[in-house]
Amino acid sequence: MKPMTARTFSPNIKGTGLGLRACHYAHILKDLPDIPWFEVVTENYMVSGGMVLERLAQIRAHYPIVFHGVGLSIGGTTPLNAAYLSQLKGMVDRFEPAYVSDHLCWTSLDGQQSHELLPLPYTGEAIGHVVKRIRQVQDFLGQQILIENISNYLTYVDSTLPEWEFLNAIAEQADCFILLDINNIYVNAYNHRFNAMQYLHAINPERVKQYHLAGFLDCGTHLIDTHGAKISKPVLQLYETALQQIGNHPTCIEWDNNIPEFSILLREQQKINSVVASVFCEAI
Amino acid sequence: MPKLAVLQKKIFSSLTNNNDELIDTNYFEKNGVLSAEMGLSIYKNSLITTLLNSMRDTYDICVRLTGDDFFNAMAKIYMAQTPSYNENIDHYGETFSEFIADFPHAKELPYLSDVARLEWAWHKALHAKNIEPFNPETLIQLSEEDHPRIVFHLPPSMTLIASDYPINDIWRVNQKEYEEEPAVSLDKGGVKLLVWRQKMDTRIEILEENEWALLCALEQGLSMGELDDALDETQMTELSNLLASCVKRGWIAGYVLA
Repeated sequence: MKPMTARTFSPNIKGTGLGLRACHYAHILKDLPDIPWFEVVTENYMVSGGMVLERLAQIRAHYPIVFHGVGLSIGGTTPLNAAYLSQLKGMVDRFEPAYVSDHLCWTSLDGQQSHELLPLPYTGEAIGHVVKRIRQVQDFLGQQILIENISNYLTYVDSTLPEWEFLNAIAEQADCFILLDINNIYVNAYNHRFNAMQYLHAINPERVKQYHLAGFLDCGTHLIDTHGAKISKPVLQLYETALQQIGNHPTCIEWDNNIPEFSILLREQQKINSVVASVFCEAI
Repeated sequence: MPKLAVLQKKIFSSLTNNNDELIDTNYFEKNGVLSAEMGLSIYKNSLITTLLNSMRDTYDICVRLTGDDFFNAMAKIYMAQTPSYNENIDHYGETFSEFIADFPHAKELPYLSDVARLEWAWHKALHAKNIEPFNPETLIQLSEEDHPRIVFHLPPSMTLIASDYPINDIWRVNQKEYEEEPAVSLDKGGVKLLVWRQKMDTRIEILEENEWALLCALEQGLSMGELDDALDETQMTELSNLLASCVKRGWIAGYVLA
């Protein structure tokens, strides 16, 4: 069954965007840097009024944006939060983001928030459950959403599928799209000892609409997805493969901890632009 | 392994109560470098760090007053007994000042709870609903008989705070941009404050006794006809001027008829 999408999925963004962070508002509004679009963490703007919404409106006047949520809890087993969804819809109507995305995970239980992206077991039960909820969200918003593969640190004994099959099945059955986080694939492949290339080969390219890139922390024995460093070389190589195999899609650089000056983000953005240009033989 | 709903209850309970015994680690397998214990520990640490960082952002003056170690230890006890119920983590920590007031180890800083109240009031004002300025000319349409039924209401950004300590000075000298030695004499005594936001400008105002009395009465929802229950004789005599001054300063958001 197709979701009743009133809004046509017509993305109007391309190129390498950046995650919008409050510490960069002043710089962005003063210099209007040459960034094609910004990604906004939706929940940070779920307030009644004041400066953050004002700044978002000002930035939106100059740039396309996408909404990226961390609190939908699409894999949660208690009912979706109707108030949250209404607020999200109100924000979508006001700011008209090109995409609305959230994570393939669960974050809350009976309204209590963990503020963590917790993993689901890769089972048929979980697929059916998540598909139902994504359809519910898409019907309510009147548009298709993107779901992102998370970094995870637990492997359930009952998982019957590899992560990529789980992601593909949900995207297909829910008729939603995939936000493919290349850093998360790398971190999971390292920690859970699978082949990241196999992940990229297996993912349904028709469902992918956006990429994420970020930096991780190497703890010696394992990696943690901290979004607190530059994008590592192996992640860039994996990104290059993704571009070749899956295609050229808007890519966002996420940096949430130890957030650097904007100029460093710009350099990271240039680096990504060079990778894209080298794959598609484009002039930068 | 149990069904998804039961499994999530067990994991959530284990993580939020920081108690490994609440989860059977046999639900997980070591598939690579991470054991179940390591995986659970990564989530527990992240859960605490995320909430703690949010608390530190909201209560950064309290962090300066107590030092990192004391604040972190105190906040972790608060966090362990105070679940978060909003997807926006910025809404977390509203009751921290009440917790501090009852926290025995904070007794040496008797003003700390009131400073936390001030910080939350500031935080609330930052994100409160925007309002249009109140136009007092709308009162002209009311008849004389309606006047006692007028209930003025305050802007949604507004919080009234009374403290036995000069918390406004403590706030001021602990701002990052304050360059001198952050010294405040507690002998200066208490203060009555109003925290609010006018357009995008968040402010702390020091209130006179009569302003405080009127605003507290309005906050309680008293109508004009009921104000003499809350204000003394002198304040009632000055009521017109007092109200006009509050309206002029933007402290009145509107009215309804009771």
